[in-house]
Amino acid sequence: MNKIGTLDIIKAYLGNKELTANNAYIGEISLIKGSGPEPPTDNRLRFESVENSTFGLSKLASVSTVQYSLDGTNWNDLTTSSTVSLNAGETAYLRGKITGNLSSSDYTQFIMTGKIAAKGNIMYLYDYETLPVTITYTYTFNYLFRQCAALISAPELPATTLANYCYRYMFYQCRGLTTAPELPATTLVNYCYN
Amino acid sequence: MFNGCSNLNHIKCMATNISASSCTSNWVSNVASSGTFICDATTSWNNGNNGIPHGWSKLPIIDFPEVTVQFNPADSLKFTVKEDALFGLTRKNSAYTLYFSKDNENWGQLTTSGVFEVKNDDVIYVCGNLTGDQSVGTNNTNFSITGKTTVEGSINSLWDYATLNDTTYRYACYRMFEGCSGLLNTPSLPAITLTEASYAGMFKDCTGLTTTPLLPATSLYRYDYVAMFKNCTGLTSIQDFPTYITKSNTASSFAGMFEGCSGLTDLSTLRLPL
Repeated sequence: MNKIGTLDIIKAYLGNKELTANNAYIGEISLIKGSGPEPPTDNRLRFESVENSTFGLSKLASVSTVQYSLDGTNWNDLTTSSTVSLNAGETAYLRGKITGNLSSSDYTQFIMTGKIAAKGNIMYLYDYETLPVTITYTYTFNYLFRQCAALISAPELPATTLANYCYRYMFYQCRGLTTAPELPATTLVNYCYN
Repeated sequence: MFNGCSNLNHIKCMATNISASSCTSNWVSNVASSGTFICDATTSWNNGNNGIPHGWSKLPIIDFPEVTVQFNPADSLKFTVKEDALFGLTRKNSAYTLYFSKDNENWGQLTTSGVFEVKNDDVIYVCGNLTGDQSVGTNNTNFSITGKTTVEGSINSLWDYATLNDTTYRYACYRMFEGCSGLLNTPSLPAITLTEASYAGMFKDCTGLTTTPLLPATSLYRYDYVAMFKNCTGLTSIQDFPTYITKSNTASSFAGMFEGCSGLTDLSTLRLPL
């Protein structure tokens, strides 16, 4: 993590270009003012509300953190006591980190009402800083959207290397879904799509 | 994973090794009763709750047909891809010989059903010959076009690419583009004389269509336009029919032609030949 004065910066951007130790240093650059950094891509994980909706977490795994933002800049922790309300047409961004194996009893699960289209890369919940395409932790997204009838589209699942149980029951009884996310992994592992 | 997703009707899974223990156990229990399963052509999936759901169509991703012959058709269907998509055939009836080309000159024959990946701005030409009847049900040829795509050319180029003659075979275009939600317009349908069910269900569920083609046929037969544009919810206008139809079993020719076309709010100007 870089540090400028008392402000901790996780990532900094000049336009769409991410600033690193190799292409910028303090004293030679001027950070663009505004509402925050431009997103590096348009593929951030987000919930787009089709009608007035709410979402929250019914369960949060002990190895997981989840945050949401209504403007893509200011982030709040999402906990099992949070309920986020969205008017029709509004969007909430999500991100998080997972630091270890989950299990059949230690998992994260959303709860939703209304109609919500999930879009963007699910790996923003895995590690929003690195967006890996490898899932190493077991049960990673186990039960994540279980019984979310309000979910009308699924996020992208770009991982090409999977861990045991990683997508187990992920969309169980999501009756609003008509199209599954593309599943690019070529080698399946134990119980991954169970 | 998708157990209980009762409205789920589309899965694309590129797995080639599905031997891991219970990796897809009950993953599609209680999904929709019909749908499309897109997969690698080399993977052996079982049907059922642990594989491809019962009632779904398997659609393998195949390579673009190998160029085997060179000719210049009198006309062909020119598809212009407007976004990355899958393009090909969900079903192919053996009465059709269909050729695909990227330059309208060097052609490969599609011998089985399957789709290939196409990119924005790609152009694909299709022509062919029809040498027998198709029939009701699923014994017919059906295109799959998943992304926005436009088309030019005469449908007759699929019946006889050398002469463009009207076909004498029944069910010639029955369900031909059904479910092609990416199709933005139709080919031209210039035939004057139709046989049984020539265009029945031809554009059913083509939600990307906004208007209909001219339908100049004056000699109709039963079922010709049945459900032709059923559930084309994007349609906002339709074109008139000829005022003079010489032969028609009209009682059944037009049944359900625009059923479910919720975008057609004003039919007061439609001139039907009935």
